[in-house]
Amino acid sequence: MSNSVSSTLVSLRLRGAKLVAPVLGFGALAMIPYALTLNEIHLLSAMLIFGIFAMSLNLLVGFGGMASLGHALFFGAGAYAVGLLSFHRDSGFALSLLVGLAAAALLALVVGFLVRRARGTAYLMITLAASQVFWGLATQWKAVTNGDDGLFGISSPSILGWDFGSTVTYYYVVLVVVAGVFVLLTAISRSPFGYVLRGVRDNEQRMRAVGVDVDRIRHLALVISAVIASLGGVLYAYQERYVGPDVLAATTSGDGLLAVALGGGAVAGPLVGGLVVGLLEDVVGSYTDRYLMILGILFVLVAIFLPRGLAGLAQSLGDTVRPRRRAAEQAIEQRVEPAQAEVTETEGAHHG
Amino acid sequence: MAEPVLEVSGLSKSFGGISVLSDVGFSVARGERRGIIGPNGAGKTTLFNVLSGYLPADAGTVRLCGSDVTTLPAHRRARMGLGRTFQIVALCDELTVEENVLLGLVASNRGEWRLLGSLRGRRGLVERSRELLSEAGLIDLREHKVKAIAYGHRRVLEIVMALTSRARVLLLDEPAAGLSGEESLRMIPLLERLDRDLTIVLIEHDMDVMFNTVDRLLVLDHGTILLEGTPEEVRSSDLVRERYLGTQHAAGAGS
Repeated sequence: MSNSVSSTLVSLRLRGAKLVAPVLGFGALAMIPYALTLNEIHLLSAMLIFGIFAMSLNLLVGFGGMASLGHALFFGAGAYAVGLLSFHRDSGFALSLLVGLAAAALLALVVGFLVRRARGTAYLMITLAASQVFWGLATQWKAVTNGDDGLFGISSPSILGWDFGSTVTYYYVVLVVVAGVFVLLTAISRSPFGYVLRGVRDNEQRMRAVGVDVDRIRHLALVISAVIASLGGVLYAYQERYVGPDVLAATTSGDGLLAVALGGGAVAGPLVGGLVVGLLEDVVGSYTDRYLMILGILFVLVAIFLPRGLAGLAQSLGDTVRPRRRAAEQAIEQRVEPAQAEVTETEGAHHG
Repeated sequence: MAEPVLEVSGLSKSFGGISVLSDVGFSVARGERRGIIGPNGAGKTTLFNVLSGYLPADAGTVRLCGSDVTTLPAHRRARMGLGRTFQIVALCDELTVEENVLLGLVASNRGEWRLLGSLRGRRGLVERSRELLSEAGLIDLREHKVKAIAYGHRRVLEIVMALTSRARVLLLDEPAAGLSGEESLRMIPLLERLDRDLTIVLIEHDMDVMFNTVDRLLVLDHGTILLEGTPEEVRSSDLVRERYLGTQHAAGAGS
């Protein structure tokens, strides 16, 4: 009885420790606008939106082992839903949001059938091709998409008469959505589905052998990931009040992959990676047109020096700084189950 | 004889014109331990892959507990009670030992679609996984990532994984492959302790493991059944000695 109580205490303490970093992080993000100019707040919103994109992509790449080079398609679906509905119909935020999410879900359903049997490079190529088709439509079908000029005339977002388009208010709306996505993806990462997805990544054969319909698990992961990415796209369109073909370009997908690789880890890593890549894009882009080259070099450096990303780096640093605390935690955990230890000893004697 | 749970008839499979299985038929009764032996390339693993749905059959039928499963995909057969292990260990390397077991358990309850609620917080599953891991002697390793545990332990976990589903028939593909002599001897009590209601089909080159475990043997050669019988009958068969056991023992004497 006391065992289960202390075990609960340990797990609560462990869980509490894991909560500290996100709470501090989001707390800082909530406070920081007071120290920033409007332009900087605008940039921070853009970075957070890219963070949503990176987190969504990581569900596919990090959890599911499905490296997609076409994730911009879903981000673009959200953004273009807003752009098209504003440009042609002057629709409001709520409708644009719903259409954006639904369009991404539908596209993911279709693309999901195309990549059912595809793995590795084939998966990269098919997703790239699918997104390029829509990038082509965005640039060429001028009557609808206004081509390279893009779609403008997106009015300030409002819902039930509440206008939240001012830079600071919009920043907080974005922050709340980011926090929501963060919580949702953290929940998914701990859920049976999240683990099965990682199981599929590690060993499809094994998952089939325990009765998992691998194809459908992968398909659902793509749809969830696409819907979250499109949420980022919708926020992007209202942030910039403009949507151009660039959101659908392969470089957007590539930036997302870089953010995921840079961040590493489960949910927080890709978010941080997205923030960093979003910042770099803005800073480097303002000095030079060779933005892609710089990011390419960064990609190579990450692959060589940070194979587990920033999250991996943080973990190693944490382990070096607090080895004693870790050891203490492990000791407590082990002390919790003396019953099991006895069973194992008997087992051992039996074998010997 | 108890009712058959696995019935195979007229099973054939060829790869690019090369026949790997031709007209294979046999049936295994409930609770029976059936061994399959034969030289390399006899078609043993291919037979397992066709039985479990990893490869489609060219001809013939596979019946599991009375229903025809010949065209069902692997995961459907698994849900109907067909568990299997792989010759090359197939585990989730980046997850811990316990997480692997929990995955198997959650899938057997059709829980893999739950997006909310913690997998590791599901009391019933955790208890069952600790039971299974204790029985298999892996309990101390439960928090280790699979990629960090010894090969012999992975072999044992491979069997535990097959037990996580509500398997009624277990196909074990060389459970002792790559193990040292001592390690493979430890595999014997593990196999003996398995529920007597469980039907087991075993491929194994280690004859100590094989003759200690099975009730009946099936000898495959070039994709056809050479002989079916008790271990004694097989051991005393001149044909088998000449084609398989003789060369195997001679070749395997050093190992």
